[in-house]
Order: sequence, then C-alpha cells, then structure tokens
Amino acid sequence: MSAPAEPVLSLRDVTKHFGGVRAVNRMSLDVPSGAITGIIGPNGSGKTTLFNLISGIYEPQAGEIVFRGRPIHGEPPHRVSMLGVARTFQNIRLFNEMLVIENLLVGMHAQLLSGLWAAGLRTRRFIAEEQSALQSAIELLEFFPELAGTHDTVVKNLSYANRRRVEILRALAARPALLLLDEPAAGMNTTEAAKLLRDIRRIRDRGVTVLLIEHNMSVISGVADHVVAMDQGEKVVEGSFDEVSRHPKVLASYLGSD
Amino acid sequence: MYALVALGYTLVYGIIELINFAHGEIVTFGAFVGLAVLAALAGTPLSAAATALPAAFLVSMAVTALLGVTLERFAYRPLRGADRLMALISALGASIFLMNAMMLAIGRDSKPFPAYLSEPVLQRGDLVVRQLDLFLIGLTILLCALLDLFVRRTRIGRAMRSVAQDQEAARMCGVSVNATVSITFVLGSAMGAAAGILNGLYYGVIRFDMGFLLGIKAFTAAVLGGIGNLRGAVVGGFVLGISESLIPAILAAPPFSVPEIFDYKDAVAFGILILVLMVKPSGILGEEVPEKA
Repeated sequence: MSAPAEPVLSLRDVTKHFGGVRAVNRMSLDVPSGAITGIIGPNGSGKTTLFNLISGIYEPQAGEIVFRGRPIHGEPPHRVSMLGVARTFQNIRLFNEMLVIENLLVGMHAQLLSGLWAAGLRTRRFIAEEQSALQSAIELLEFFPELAGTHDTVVKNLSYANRRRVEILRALAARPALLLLDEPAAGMNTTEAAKLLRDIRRIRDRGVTVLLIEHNMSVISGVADHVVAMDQGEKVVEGSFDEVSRHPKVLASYLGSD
Repeated sequence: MYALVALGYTLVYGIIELINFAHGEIVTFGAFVGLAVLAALAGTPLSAAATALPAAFLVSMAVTALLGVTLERFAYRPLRGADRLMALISALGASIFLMNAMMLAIGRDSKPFPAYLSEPVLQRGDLVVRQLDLFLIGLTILLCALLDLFVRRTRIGRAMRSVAQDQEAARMCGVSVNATVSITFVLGSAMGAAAGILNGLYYGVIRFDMGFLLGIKAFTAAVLGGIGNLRGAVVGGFVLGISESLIPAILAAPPFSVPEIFDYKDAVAFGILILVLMVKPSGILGEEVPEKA
C-alpha cells in the first residue's frame, strides 16, 4: 500500500529537549514524495515540536533533517520556507488585519524578487511582477470554492473554516514541495472536515507532498497514505493506517485514552 | 514636520513594539549632515536652492538611514526577544550616547543654518507666506503619501505589515524578519533626516540637543494619532503642530489676554499628551491600532 518513493524529507535521530522534558527524542522518519503522511499521537506527544523543528523555528540538539538532499536543520525559518517547506499552524496564524489576497501575496513573498529600489521607483519589472503575483493569488483562491468573492475581505471577518482555508492557501502560495498541516480539521464539524480531506487529496494531486498532524484517528484514516504514530516524543510505529491502528501500543496509549 | 518625525516613531513601534527614543537624535544627525552638504556646496555653482537642497536631502537621508540601521543592528537587535523594558533602556542609552557624541563632534553652540527659499510668495498685512512654508508643507505631505503607498502597495510593505502582526508566521512565509526590521529603520531614519533639515531651514539654527524636545513632541504626535498607525502619526503631527501655535495665540488674544502663554508653548504640547493618555490612550485613529504599519 505505501510504497515509499524517494523521500522528500528525512529525519535522523532528531532530538529536542526543553529543560528536562524530551519533547522529541531520537526521532527518525522518511516522508515519501508525492504522498500524504499522517502523524498521530496524543496531546503532548511531540507532534507540533516536530513541525517546529522541520520548519526551522527550533533547532534540534542532535540529529539531522534533510530536505531534498540538503540538510536544513539550523537554517532560519525564512530560508527553510524559500527552499520549499510551507506550513500551517494548529491555532490559525493569519495576518488578521490584512486582506485575504494580501495574505496570499505575503505567502508568495519569497518568489517576488524586486527590491526596495525597484519598488520605490515603480519600475516596469516591479509592476509586471506585482500584477502576475496578484493574478496567481486570484487563481489560487479558486482552489476553495467557499472562498469565492472574499479576496478583498479582511481576514478577521471570515468564518473559522474559511480562515483555515486561507491559511492553507497562504502556505500553497509559496509553491512548496512539502506542505506541513498542523491539525487542519481542528474545530471543524464533520461535514467540513470530510470536505477538507478531499481538498487535501487535491493538494497532493497537484504534486505537493503533505505531512499532516492529526489528533483524530478517523480523519487520518480517510486521507493518509502512510501513518506514523508518536508518543512521548518517540516514534511508536509506522506503516499503513490499518497496520498502525492495530498496533497494541497505539491502541493502549492513544485510542484507549480517547 | 512633527508628522515626519512621528512617522519614524510609529513605524518602528508598529513593527517591533519599541519606542525608539534615539529617533530625536537621528533627526539632529540628519540636520547636521544636511548642513554639511549645504556648507560644502556653498560658493560652488551648485549652491542654488534648486540643486543644493535636493543634494542635501538625498545625501542626508541616505547617510542617516545608514545610522538608523547601524543603531538597530547594535543597540536593538541583540535585545530582540528579551524583555521589552531592556530594549527601551537600550533606546534611552542610545539616545544619550548619540546626543553626547554629537556634542563632542560639533560643539555645544547653535550652528546657523543657511537660509533658502525665504522670499515671500504672499504678503497681506501681518500674514507672510514664504516659499519655504509651502515647501515644508508640500514635502511633508509628499513623503507621507509616498510612505503610505509603499507600505500598502509593495511587497516589502506587505512584509512589514506581516511582521508587525505575527513574526513567526511571517518567517514561515519566507519573510526575513531582520531584513524587514532593517528596512523599517531605513525608512524611519530617512524621514527623520528630512525632518531635521526642514527644522534647520525653518528655524535657521540647529544644535546638538535639538532632537530631544523635537523627538518627545513627535512622540506625543504619534501617541495622539494612535501609535503604530501611520496615518494616525500624520494626523497627530499636524494636529499637534497647529494646536501648539494656535492655542497660545488664542489665549493671548482679548478674552483671555495672557501674552505670557507663549513662553509655555511646550506645556501645551505635553498637556495634550497627558490629556490623550487620560481620555483616549489609543489615540485619534486608535481603533485601527492593530493595522499598525
């Protein structure tokens, strides 16, 4: 079922401690290219810390993180983003006072190259670049039909589900090779969550590798090609959803407590 | 003029929530660089207003921007993420350091600033409008408008606003926070330099410590307009400037007839600050505060 192609992202013995707490401990992981990989685990099992390590917000104390053949641990977040890793946050972190379209344009920031002078002098190249960026942002917005007609809306006025969608689009605006989604269905009702899963598959079908944190087992069963279970900062087991969900440790530590 | 200086405060505050107390000294520095350029050009064929003033503004804005970036790099960046009080104290230290450095370099005396554009364009009784007055208002409005356009319409302006709202999320979008903060200091300091030269042209003298009072008043203007809000800073600057001249004038006129009030011009400005902080701490355009830059 999960026939891993060349991994787009590899973690080797990645460790991050906070004081005496081992948030992530000797974690190794290969994320197969072009697939959806789900990470499950109870609260506090280190899933979000793992995302923060991959995206450069934290630097691991040990181990290495290799993205498309290139070590990225220790790189600052904006560099990691430029190399092709985009993410969303568990508690949506949009630029709430800005327009939907502006949020997407910030997402494209790294691809727009005109510098301060070009912008100041409003050179022809700068104007052309801004216009094509605006055009691609408008096209991107069509990915979610629910967002039709919202591009001049201030983000804080959107519904919760639509803010989630905008955050995903802002991440996609950077044209990442790898998209990290931190509990994208959190706070959504089951209908919306089911719809979101189909949308995540559409993202994969555009050629973006997806790494997805999910707390809810039923969500991940419908979408992940490959599942990794974590507990107390360590990998418990990985494989197909069926393999992982039948694993006794997963049943005990995770399903049992849910 | 207050508007221009207030912009410097509000820009920086909007992005990194730091009150850059050294901004007043940045303004003084800008004025002295402008004076140096004018002095260097004096007696050359370029000394006419049409060539000397643009040269003074451009050179001074560029050099002062460099000072602003250096200041941020050494006095503020190492403290980013530390307690906000630390950065505030560092800002006070930077202010005192710069003021004393300028005193040593230039001396304690007021330096005369060459007069330009002093011909009247309109004269009706006591009312005299000089070219300079129009130039001052025109340049202030132009710079404010350009800055507004820049922050609203360009990629870097968007990056500035995104950093103001959520640094970490901005980083994840590929925005370099350090580069963005540096650009903020470039813009704020360049505006400050322009204000410094305008101040010199207007009053005809500059002094190493002129930035202190000017800075505090501009800070008042920024608070008055709603700190962190660019348009608020401009509105606050104009309101402060006008009330500072108008209120004493009114109080000196017949119904009140207290001519001594002119000696208390500064008290008017700070009275306004205290009043704003008591009545509406978020400022005139304060509702929009999160809009920031």
